[in-house]
Amino acid sequence: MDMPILPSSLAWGIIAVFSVFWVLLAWWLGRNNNTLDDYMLAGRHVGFGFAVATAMATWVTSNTTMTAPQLTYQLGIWGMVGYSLGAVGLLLFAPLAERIRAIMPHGMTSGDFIRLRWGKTTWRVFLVISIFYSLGWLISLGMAGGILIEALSGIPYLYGMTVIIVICTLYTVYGGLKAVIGTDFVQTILIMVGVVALAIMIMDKISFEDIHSRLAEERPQLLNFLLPASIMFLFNNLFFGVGEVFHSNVWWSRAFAFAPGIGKKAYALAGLFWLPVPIVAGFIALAAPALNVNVPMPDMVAPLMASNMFGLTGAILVFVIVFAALASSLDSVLAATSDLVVKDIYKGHFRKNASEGELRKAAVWTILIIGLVTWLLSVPRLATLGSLLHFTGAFVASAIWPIVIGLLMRKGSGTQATLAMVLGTGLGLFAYFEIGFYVAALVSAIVSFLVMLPAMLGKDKYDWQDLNPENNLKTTSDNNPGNNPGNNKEPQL
Amino acid sequence: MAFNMFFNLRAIWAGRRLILLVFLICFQTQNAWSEVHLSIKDDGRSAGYVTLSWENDAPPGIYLLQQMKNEKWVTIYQGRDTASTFSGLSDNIYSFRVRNMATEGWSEVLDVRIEHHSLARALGFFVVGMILFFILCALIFLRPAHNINYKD
Repeated sequence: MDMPILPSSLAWGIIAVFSVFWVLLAWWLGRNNNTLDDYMLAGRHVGFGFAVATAMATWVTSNTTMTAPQLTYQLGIWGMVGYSLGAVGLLLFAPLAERIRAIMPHGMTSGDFIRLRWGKTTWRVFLVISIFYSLGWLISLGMAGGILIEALSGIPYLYGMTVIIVICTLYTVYGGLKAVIGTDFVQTILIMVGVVALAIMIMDKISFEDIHSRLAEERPQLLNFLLPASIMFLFNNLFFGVGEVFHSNVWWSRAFAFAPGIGKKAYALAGLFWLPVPIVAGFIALAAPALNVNVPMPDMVAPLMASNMFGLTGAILVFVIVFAALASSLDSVLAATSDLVVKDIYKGHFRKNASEGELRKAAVWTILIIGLVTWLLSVPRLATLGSLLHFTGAFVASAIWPIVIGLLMRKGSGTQATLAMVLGTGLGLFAYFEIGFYVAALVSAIVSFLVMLPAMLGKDKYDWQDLNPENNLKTTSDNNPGNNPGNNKEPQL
Repeated sequence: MAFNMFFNLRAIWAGRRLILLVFLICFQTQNAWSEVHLSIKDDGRSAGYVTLSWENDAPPGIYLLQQMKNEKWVTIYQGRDTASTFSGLSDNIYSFRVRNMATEGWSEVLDVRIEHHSLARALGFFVVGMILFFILCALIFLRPAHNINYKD
């Protein structure tokens, strides 16, 4: 590594201040958690402001702030624009979130829906996909933390990665989803202010002409609107984002946690706020050739460029933004994955009669174990952030059609949904290795769609009442969300 | 006298052998250190990017990375990093070599062939992706959630 711009003592200082703040805030927010619903779903009455903030902060991950520049550096203009299409996932999930909240007022996880809608075989396949994806996301976040800290301050990757994972695990354990959402709110403010400041600094610092002429001379394909790989990447990234949001319990748990009528507006607004972030973050990567910055690994381009362009102030700014971004996502994925493991694996498979207290303890232990597994798998730094993340694209995109059709139509069978996920994932992975990471999710979504196509054209079979075995809803009055338990509370958090 | 001369000659010869041995060891070490190995770490040749990395047994130092341009070696990086990523490259063969400034000799030349996917293939993926996206939007927005309840 060439000399880092941020003194390691200053980096440790920033980490320490924010870590103490997150943990204290989480403890304070979680002090009134009494029931499992409080711990896992923040009492099911999260208000609009917090709902937008948590959706926004969770989606602005270290992937947005570090992988968007990586993909811009690798795939050019379309890499940057393509990454911002990840917003489509949130925008399309907005109407679905409202539907989820209305048709499953007692639901706790995305696994609940899959089990009740498609049956146990599909549920198990889905759990494998979802947990594999969550681990991939968690590892990419841990890695991003280590890479960021190393690139900016020279602190070894292992130390930075360890600190990030330990802190996020700690405060998630303390406060559950309330803590996650509360810290997300503060982190969103930090991210938004930081990104706006960064955009102003970029416009002030770089001459667009210099960037363009240097790219045209040395890296012409980064400006090419017909660069084949990036053309393929556009819809691949869109479907990857849609697959991530549609299947992941991170977003389902929020749909259950938001107060009635909040989910649709909150997800739509979060998607719109998120849209420009990858553009701003990604753009600085294009200046690397003009500034003669060596990029050892493409996923290091963002922190390297920030420190080269803006000096110490820029390095501190980027450090705070990315630290907030990855903490806000790491805690969310930890909490949501823990919910999935506790509810769908521990209770669903091994301890069907587990009490609420037992499940609460299991949730704490699960968060700790997932944190440990994430740390272990982040140590070897197996791939670049972009390629690791898009490897999981083959898995998640296969779940898009079974979820959409399952939520909106009474058609299709569990066998079709299972086949769609298995074949979609298999051929998506084949495409990943045979063609490139930039087509894995797209191929998976295409295959999954083809398998589910006959289901869409088939007969109506499913009875929506089966989604609520607890209260076995039978009357039209039950369709009014206001009549459902948990729905009559005022938004609070 | 002859005996002493014999021993003197042997001593001189032994001394020379020692010097030769030391020289050979040094040469070998120098030679081993000079063998910087240049390889592809992240292969995106069909997308126009590639990450090169290099390593050798010598202590960390300053590396010099050169690329063949217009039949001349041009230095494109000088510093302590042990990898470099090149992107936005057009279809062509690009030649690179690297050396550790503390040692002698260059690595073997690494030829990197960039060969992009065909545009027809790319546009095929693009069109299919677009159609799929429209179907997804139609499914979600033309069947609004509020029109679907437990009775539908």
